[in-house]
Amino acid sequence: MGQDLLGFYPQWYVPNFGSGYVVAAIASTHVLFSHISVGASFLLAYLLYKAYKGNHEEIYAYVKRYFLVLLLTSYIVGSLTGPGIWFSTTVSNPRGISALIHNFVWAWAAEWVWFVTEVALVYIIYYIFDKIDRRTLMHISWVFAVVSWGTLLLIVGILSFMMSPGSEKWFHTGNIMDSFYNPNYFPQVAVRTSFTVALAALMGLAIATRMRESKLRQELVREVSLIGIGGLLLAGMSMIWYLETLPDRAKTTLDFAIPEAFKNTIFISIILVALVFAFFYALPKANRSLAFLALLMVVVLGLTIFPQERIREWLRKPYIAGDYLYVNQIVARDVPAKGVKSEIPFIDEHGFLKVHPFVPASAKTVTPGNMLEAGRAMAMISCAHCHSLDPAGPRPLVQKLEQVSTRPDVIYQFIERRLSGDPHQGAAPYMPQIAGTDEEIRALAAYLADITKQYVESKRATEQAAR
Amino acid sequence: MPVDTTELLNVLRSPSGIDFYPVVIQVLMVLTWAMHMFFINITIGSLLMTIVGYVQRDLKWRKLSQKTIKIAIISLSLGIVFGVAPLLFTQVIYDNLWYTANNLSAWLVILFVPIVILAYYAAYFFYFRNRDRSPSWLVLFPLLSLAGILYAAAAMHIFSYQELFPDKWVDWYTNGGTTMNTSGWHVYAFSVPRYLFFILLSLFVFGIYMKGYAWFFSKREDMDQSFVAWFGQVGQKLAAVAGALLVLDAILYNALQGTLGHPVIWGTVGFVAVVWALLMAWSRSSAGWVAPTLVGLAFFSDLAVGIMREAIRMIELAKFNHTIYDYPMHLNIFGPVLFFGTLGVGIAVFAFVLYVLYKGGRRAGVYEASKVETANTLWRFAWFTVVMWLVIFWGTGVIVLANLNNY
Repeated sequence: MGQDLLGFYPQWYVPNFGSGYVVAAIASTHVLFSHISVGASFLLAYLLYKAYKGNHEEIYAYVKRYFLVLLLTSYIVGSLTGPGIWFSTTVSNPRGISALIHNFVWAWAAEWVWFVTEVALVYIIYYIFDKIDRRTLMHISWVFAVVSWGTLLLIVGILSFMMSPGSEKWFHTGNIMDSFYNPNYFPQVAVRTSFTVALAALMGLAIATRMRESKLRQELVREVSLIGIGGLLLAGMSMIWYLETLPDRAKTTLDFAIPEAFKNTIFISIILVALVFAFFYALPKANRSLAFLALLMVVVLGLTIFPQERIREWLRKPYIAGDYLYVNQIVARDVPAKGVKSEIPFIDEHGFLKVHPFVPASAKTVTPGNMLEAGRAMAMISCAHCHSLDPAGPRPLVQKLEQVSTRPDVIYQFIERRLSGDPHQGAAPYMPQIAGTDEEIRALAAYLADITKQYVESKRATEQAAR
Repeated sequence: MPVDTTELLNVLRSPSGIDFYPVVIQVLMVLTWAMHMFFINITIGSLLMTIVGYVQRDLKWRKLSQKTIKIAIISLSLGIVFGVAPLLFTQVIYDNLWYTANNLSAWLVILFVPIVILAYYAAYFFYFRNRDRSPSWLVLFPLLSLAGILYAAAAMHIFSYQELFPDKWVDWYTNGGTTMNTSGWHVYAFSVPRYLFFILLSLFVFGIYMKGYAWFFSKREDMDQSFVAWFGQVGQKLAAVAGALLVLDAILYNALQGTLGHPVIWGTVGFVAVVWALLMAWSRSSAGWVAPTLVGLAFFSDLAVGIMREAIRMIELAKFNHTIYDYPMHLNIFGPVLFFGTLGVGIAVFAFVLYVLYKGGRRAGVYEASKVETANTLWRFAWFTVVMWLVIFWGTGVIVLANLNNY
């Protein structure tokens, strides 16, 4: 390669929490509020059409209130958590976000056009709501709906590529279109679009609690509830299609590695929301508690969206993007069209610590004197993107290795087998292949044995103290 | 052995390269940064004037704070959305700088999001509660909001400034080769004159914006015209003072950075100085074109600052024989076609809504846009382009997927 270094960035590590959870918290919040805004744009355009046709003043008042709520929620929290995902991935997985940015810069730029248009329109609609004739208002609301949806249509291409390009074609053409429109694209658009409608309906019910009781309010509650049920049904059906288009590796992970509790939580929370919609459809007068619906949204955030985002991340493993970049930042396969080469042979030959620019000089070369320091550096750059090096946080290594051994030689064999990249040797399909020299892997094993031993001893001491 | 900075800058680039001419991405980055900065300048300026106005005893100043807080919340929204584009483009051509600078101080960028959200809600709370006789402690909210935005500005300043020292990155992160500073709580570089420069720029731009505001509403019979005129005069004074300090600070910062002798720096700082001189020269003019011209020039001042900022970065990188113009490229035109096509549709939509907004905003009462032929024509064209975008977008998807399945 004619060089000594590879392009790894300084690493950020959050003890006992993990940078991945920071990303997940921001991303899940963004999904909730951005999805509400997309679904709401169509719901409100439809309601403005209905208000215009029937000259319903009460619906106009409802729609205006809804727009204000959107301004105060989706267009603050949603707008900021969007770039927040970039920010958090920039510091938790810089090469991952860089891979996506460099492949999809123009798709993202196009999404930005819609985003700017959408935000400008929501302000314009709200602030000129009563200063403009209602036909024009209706026209603007339909444009708002389409451009709002446009942001979803564009981002889904990138999200589905993250899961997998879906074919070999992109690797050989490098064409953005071959990665954007991958087999997972349309199913994911269908799932997300349907879900946005359901979420907008949920928000719609919350806003309807602020209307005075009338026949029109009851009709509205029933209609919004029905729309919510429809959204959930369509999302459920699209989900079957979506799962069909996942790569085989992800299907295996979904079936065998992801805890049933995760999947059941999502399923039960969706059924719960569907039942709420059905209840308010049958008894629209009962829809009076804003607190209940706000709580329900928190439930959706915590029990539907958060686990779903975690599962989506899990299914991508061992890759972070495009079936070629490992979650620990190593390029794991060639992308001939882009001139990208797998970095694993280079790292195996020269050593991970050596080629990483931000590993300190004191840990670059493994010696008997710096075994633990070099091992910790190896753990930091090889494992810490997904695994906590502390007793708490995401998938702590000490909790895993406690069941294996506290002996360096046994842990070394475990790493060699489990991270061999070869399923026949017992490699997990969601784990990256270990990269580095033999000395580096032995140093890693020594460090892991050391922290596991400390963990086991401290646990034992705590248990004895408790007795 | 110390790390070679030129090699470091090269290896930190994306291995997949870029798919279009770097100069195009650079121009888009600077242009959209100027748009972002224009609205952020208005946000900072309007929040500051909100605070100043609210603490005065005169009711006129209280009313000023009611106007400026509304400007602040809208411009903050626009500032955020316009900020997405330069953030995107910088990650493409300056990925090596941006990702490193962020990872050196990771918590700063993580805290950015919740702090700006809080700043936003504080501004909104004040907007809803600010009345002619509301209590004086309410000023805490715009203060909190301004503090949040200034924090965000400081974070962005730190990243942009740390970017300029690639030869120090490894030493910073490893404490001279002895450890890994993984905590993300460190700040390694900060330039007070550079940071202050953007605050002064905000006051300068917002002062001019206030003049533009007074001009825009000068025909509104339902508004107190003596207040509107006074609003513009306050803006004139603000811009006059801030503009003079801005030019001095620009000279100071560039002298400290060692870039003062470069012709691009002279050109851009000189442009801002000329805009300030025109503001002073036209201060007593009542001609209708003066205020909108100055608002346009205020935007171009932001553009000049954007060019200055970019020139400083290029001068600093040239010390390490690094330039974005040799970024490995695999040309692919489909992406740019998607973006520029979407941009065209966006412009068509904006032409329609801005026409309606302009016409409706300058008169009292309900504006019957649907009875105006121009508005109708613009609406039909906007809707046609939006629907065509959808048709082409979906159609392309179907064709690509059909071919993908046959690959």
